[in-house]
Parts: sequence; C-alpha cells; structure tokens
Amino acid sequence: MKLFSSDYWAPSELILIGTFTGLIKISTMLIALAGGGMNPVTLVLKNTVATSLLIILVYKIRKFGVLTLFSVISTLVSLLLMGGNLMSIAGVMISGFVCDLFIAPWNGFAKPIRLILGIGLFDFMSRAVSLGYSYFLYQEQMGMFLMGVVMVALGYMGCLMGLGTGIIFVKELRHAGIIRE
Amino acid sequence: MPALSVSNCSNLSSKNFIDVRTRMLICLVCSTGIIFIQSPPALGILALASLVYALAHGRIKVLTVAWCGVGIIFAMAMCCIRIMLIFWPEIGEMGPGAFFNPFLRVLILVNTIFALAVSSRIQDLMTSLKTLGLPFVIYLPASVMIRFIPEFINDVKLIRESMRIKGFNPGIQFVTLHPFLVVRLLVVPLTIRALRSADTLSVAAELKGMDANTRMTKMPSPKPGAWDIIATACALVLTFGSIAAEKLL
Repeated sequence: MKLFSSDYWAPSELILIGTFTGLIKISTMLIALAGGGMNPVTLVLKNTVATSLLIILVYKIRKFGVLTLFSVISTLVSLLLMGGNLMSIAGVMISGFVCDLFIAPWNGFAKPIRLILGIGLFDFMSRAVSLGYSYFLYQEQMGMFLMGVVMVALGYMGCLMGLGTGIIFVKELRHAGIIRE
Repeated sequence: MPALSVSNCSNLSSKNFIDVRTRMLICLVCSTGIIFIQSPPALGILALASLVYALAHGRIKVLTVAWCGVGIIFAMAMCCIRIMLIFWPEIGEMGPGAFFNPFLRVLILVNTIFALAVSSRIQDLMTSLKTLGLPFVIYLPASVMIRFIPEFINDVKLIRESMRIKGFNPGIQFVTLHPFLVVRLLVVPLTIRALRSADTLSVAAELKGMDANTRMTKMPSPKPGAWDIIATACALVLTFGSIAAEKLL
C-alpha cells in the first residue's frame, strides 16, 4: 500500500508527524490537568488547541494519508503509553482515512477550505466512534451515556472554535516563514 | 534529553512477565467481550479476574488511585440516579444490572488498560514497537513521539517558569478565567519550540543518511512464554465463557 511505503514519505515529514502527535497529547493533557477535572472551559480549550495544532500539521504536510498516519500514531502510542481503548482505535483510523479521502480529490490538499472541512469532519467522526463504543458500555444507563454526549458535544464546540484559531495560527506561522506553502 | 526510562526501572523490571503483545490481545478481548456481557455476576467475575491480572503487574498505589477515581465517579452517578428515582420511580424496576453493569465494565477496562499502559517502561515500549514488525512509516513517528515526551515536559517547565516571572500563576483559576492568555503564553511558545525541534531532528536524520531506502533492523520476536499462554487462555475462557453461559442459560 502506497500510504505505508517509505518512498512516499520523507523522514522530515514522519518526524514532524511524530513531534506534533506528541505536542497535541502533551498540551491537551496539560490543559486538562491544569483545569482540574470536569472544567467546561478547559474542556473547550483543550479541543480548540488540539484542532489548531492539527491544522498546522496538515498545512505543513499536504499529502494524502497525513490524517490516517496521525491517527495511527496517536492511537498506538495512547494505547501503549497513556491507556487508550483498543476498540476505538480501528474507528479512529477509519475516520482518518475517510477524511483523507474527503480532502484528496481534485487536488484538495492545495485548497484551504477542503483542509479545514476535512479536519472538522475528522474531529466529528472520531468523536462519533468513541460515543458509539460508550453507547454499548453504558447500554443499561442511558442517563450516563447522555451525560457523555453533552460533554463530547461541548468538546466538539471547542474543535469548531479550533478551526478558526487554527487559521489564525497558520497565518502567523506563514508570516514568520515557518509554513511556506 | 533526560531518559524517561531511568525512573522506576528497578520496581518494574521484574513485573513485566507478560509480553506486550499478549497484554494488547487481552485488552482487545476484554474491551470487545464486555459489550456483549449483560449479567452482573459474569461481569463481576471478569472484574475480579482483571483486578488479579492488574495487581500482578505491581504499582499498587497507582492502581488504587485509578480505582478511587472510578469509585468517586460511580458514587456521583449513584447520587444522580437517587435523585432521578424521586422523579422517575420506573428506573428502580430495571434491576441491579442497570446500576452495576456500567461500573463493572469501566473497572474491567481500567484494569486491562492499566496492565498494558502504566506498567510498561519506555524502553520496553520501544522494543515492543520493533518486535511488532511495524512498517518504518509508523515506527519512526511513534518512536519520535515517545522519545520527545520528556523534552516537551521540560519545555513546559521552562515556559511555566517564564510565565511566573511575568507575574502569571498558571493554576486552575488562571486557566479558567484567561483561556486566551493560556494559548498565547503557553501553547504558542510550545508550538514554536516543537517546530524547531522537528526541524533539528529532520536535519539530524538527513545527516545520518536516513531516507526512503533505509532498511529497518527487525528485532527477533520473542516466543510466547508460559505466563503469556496462561493469561491469554484465562482471558479467552472467562470472556467467551461468560458470553456463552449468558446465551445458553
């Protein structure tokens, strides 16, 4: 498969994906810890930051498969290091691949609007997969599941805000010469 | 860069008697199986077995904290249900499964994930990444990410100090009341530092001659030991046995 072939990716791109996956994990964890548990402000903020950083990553590496590879690395390391759920991994990887397919046609990686919409869709789909698993987990207590839905919806509002702040981030980084395209 | 693997290695080295691939398999079997099990006794037995499995990996303090966290969440949920019972007494007619099953499922997940994630050393994870036979495009970013976590933590400490010098105290109050300042003072410098680190590492990789033609050294996969077979068999028998018993009885 071309996506997992070494010829397709430059080492610098792979390193950037690894670095940004780590950065997203650490910064979101840090904000969540600083907020102290069920804090709605930090819940929105951490999702805003994660989406903004993901936008920077996709702007830096405009290639088919970047979201798939990001989700593979993120979930694999989450599973081994931070305690992610193995059941949601397949769903997140499929979300990444579907969103890459959404962006790619007709040179979509060169079009900012397609990138932004693709990342918005990726955030939505990965959350939907997690909620789908939670539905089975709390099948006897729909109240607990609905509480989860409210929290995830609040987090997704943060992601939507992150789409806007991500564009601002990218503009600043382009001004600084860090993003060249 | 400080080696994260140095800490706690003395109390972990003897505890990882089960291979990481076996632990991943147990995690997968349990997280799939608990969806289909609906009887509280079956889930209780599985929770007990998963507790024994988690305790065998040591780090009892961390496990106790995790259990306390789940306990607090469960107590809060119970309080909410008690309040709901006043308004909708029909909820009480659903039986004990409706109250205990979600809690037991979360406990099983916490135990299996604990055994996989918390009890592994960084160096073990790096080795297991190699033995899993992953392609280079997954191995390189994953190892960069794992190796960069201590670097990021150091960066955060530095930025926190600089925030303190500027007169900001980055605590719960500050994060809640000034989220935009958090982005400006913490996230932006962290992002710039990460981009610089990635650039430096990319140059180092190119100077080292790492490119598309680089062949990855594959570590020989260790054969499953007796404990791997016993643990996998127990997980499979308990999970699928519970599902079968539930369907038959």
